[in-house]
Amino acid sequence: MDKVILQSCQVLTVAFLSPLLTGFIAKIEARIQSRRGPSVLQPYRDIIKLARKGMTVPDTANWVYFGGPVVAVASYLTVPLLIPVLTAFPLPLATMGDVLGGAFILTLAGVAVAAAATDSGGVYAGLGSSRAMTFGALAEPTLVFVFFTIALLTQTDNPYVLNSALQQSAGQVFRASHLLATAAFFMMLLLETGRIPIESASGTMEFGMIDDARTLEHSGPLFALLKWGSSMKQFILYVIFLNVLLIPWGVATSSRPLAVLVSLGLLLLKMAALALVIVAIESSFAKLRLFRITEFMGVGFILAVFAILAFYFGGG
Amino acid sequence: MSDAVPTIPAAIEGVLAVGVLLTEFALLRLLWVEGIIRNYALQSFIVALFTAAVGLRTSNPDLYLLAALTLVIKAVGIPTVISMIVRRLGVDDRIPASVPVPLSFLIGAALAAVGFAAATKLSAGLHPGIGLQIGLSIVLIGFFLMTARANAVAQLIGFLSLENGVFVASVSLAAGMPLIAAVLLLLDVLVPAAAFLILIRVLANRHRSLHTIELTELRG
Repeated sequence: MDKVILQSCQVLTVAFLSPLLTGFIAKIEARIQSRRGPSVLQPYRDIIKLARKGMTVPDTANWVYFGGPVVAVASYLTVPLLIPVLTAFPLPLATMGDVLGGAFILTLAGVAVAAAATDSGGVYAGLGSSRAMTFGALAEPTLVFVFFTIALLTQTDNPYVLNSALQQSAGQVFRASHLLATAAFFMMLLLETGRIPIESASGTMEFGMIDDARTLEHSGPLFALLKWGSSMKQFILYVIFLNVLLIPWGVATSSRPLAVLVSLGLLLLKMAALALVIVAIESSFAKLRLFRITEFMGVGFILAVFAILAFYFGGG
Repeated sequence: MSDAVPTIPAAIEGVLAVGVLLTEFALLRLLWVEGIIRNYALQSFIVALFTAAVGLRTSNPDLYLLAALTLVIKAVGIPTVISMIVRRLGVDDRIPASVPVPLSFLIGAALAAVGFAAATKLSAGLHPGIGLQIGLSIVLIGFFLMTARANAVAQLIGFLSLENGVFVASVSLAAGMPLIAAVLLLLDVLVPAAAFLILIRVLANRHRSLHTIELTELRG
């Protein structure tokens, strides 16, 4: 199959399967709470419904308010070009950025949403974006250390090369520094996707909300874009966690359509497994108080520091 | 710094050693007596697994026995006795943090870095693996835990976890150590533990508290 088509497929996978992941998590969570829960297709219906509605715009809003969601979605559609969603070999545009490049683009999306929320002038939206930026800044050093560790281990920081380096030696995946870095990334994953113990994703209005508070002032198509964007962000982070860090196997190594389809199926299976783990965490822990989130971040940072220490001094 | 990819048994050993270090950090975070006792039991359990893993790598059956002894004495015996005694005394469960938890974490991380660097210098590349580094880090953090928590049980657990660090280092450094020496090392810990427990009972009976500030009033 043509590599350009493959690359477009990666973007389309992220764009169109991400609401499914969100719906799946909500469904499983409902089942665990003995509710029937919404259909797994509910996020699609929500997005379509919102896209058809009109907008209520705050008087103080200017172009930042309108531009933010669009920039965010554009960023989320750019990142799948850089990471191994379906194929283990680099596709045409894969070399235009490394892991840090991808992280910058994800951060750009976060900043765009926060700016749009602040521009709305709403108190809760502003509060949410200020919190999201604060905790994002605390997550940054951990993520940087995680990717430094992985880069030290495999001598590369291109996600595709990382993936194939890990595929070639099982010992790499099980060494202490790699597992520590993976654990640290998992904690940051919980933070970035707004899951318990950081915040409850099935949130109603409450004082502890962070990510969800940012979208309070948007409505109609813009709100649909924000919702879709946060689904895509979750999907992208799951892909990075699964295909680059935890389970590098099962990503297509040839461009035959069958191999790519198998790879897609395996990706969905891996995601379902990870979703079950996340739901288990969501159902068995309580939300942390806002001021204890720094402790959570501290643990993540310690894990990442140990990953580097274990690599430099222990050969682990 | 080594670029060699470890074999799977060596990798498992490394992961378990790091697990011991992480439970040491959990000790810095917990501020209630029952919690740190349980966490010490967990740490000892991982130490037992680590000992068994070293036994697996070096195919030394003595280490399996040592792992079983560690499990019985340190993961079950000592924690049960301590928590039984503390529960019977019925004193305040909270541990005052003279150094706040986030700062303890940072100091712990710095001490771990010192331990790693010093142990690497010491072994000068002769000793592969991560056990010695982690052992030394745990000893340093254990010392710090004993100074940073003004509670007799916390100090006892700090001391016992410090001993776990010594144990990890000795097992990984001298896997072929005669069994009798290793068992002696294991039983060594019982004497200071008993001494600490007497101190805890005296404190609790005289002052209804485990705060070590009361020690200043203990006169002959």
